[in-house]
Amino acid sequence: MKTNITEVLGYLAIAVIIISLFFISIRFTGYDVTSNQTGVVNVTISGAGALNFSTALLDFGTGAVVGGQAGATLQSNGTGLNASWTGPKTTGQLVLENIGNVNVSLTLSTNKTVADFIGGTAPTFKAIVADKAEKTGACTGTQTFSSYATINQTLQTACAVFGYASAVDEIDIDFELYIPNDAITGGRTIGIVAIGTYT
Amino acid sequence: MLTKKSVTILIIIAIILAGVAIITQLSDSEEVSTTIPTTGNSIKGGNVGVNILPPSVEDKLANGEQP
Repeated sequence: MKTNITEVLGYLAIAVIIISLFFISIRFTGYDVTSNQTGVVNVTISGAGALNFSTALLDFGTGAVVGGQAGATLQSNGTGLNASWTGPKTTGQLVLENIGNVNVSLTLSTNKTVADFIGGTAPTFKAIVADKAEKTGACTGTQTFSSYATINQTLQTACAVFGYASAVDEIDIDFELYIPNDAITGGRTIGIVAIGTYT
Repeated sequence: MLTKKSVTILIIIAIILAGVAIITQLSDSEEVSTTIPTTGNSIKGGNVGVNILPPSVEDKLANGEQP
């Protein structure tokens, strides 16, 4: 039996018309009680800035200004000073990590004045920020603390851009103290406030 | 018997109706958009400490000071 293509196409067209009319009719007559509703869900994950001090305490230890000296200068980085101080040399630092999923602008400040922290005649408190050894490029842009600079209660930009990618998400924060010989004695602490702003 | 002309007309009608049917079904789609809000600034604190002792008596004596 020979197949007539034209007739086959014609019957297929009739079938399509019937099926289409069926779906159109149930849509407008309200009989589509088993209608499937299709939903499209869009999820937009916004950036979230988050910081964490993986090393949150730096202890300069116990010591005294060497007698006869006006004061002692202590630096926490390994090659730093430990002049006129009877205590041990400190080699630790604070380590700050960007644990969010966006780059942030980082500012650093203290929670009290240097006079309240150390006291005495002309004490100073300075900070220096550097990329952690294996995290080159973590801190870029404007860097107030690229060398030892006074840190106080004023917010100062430590890194205009503090990266979040795992290869560039950690920085070291070292400190320098100048302790005059008439400083307040006893255990002294100061808080370092790190603020990451996502823009 | 279907003529070529009638089949052509049927195909055109079928295409148009199929399009209308698809559009009416898709019009039921509902789009839900969810945005996870930004958490804003992150603030963390660390501490720096030192225990300052007064100069020792030996130190003071060695420097000619009164203990």
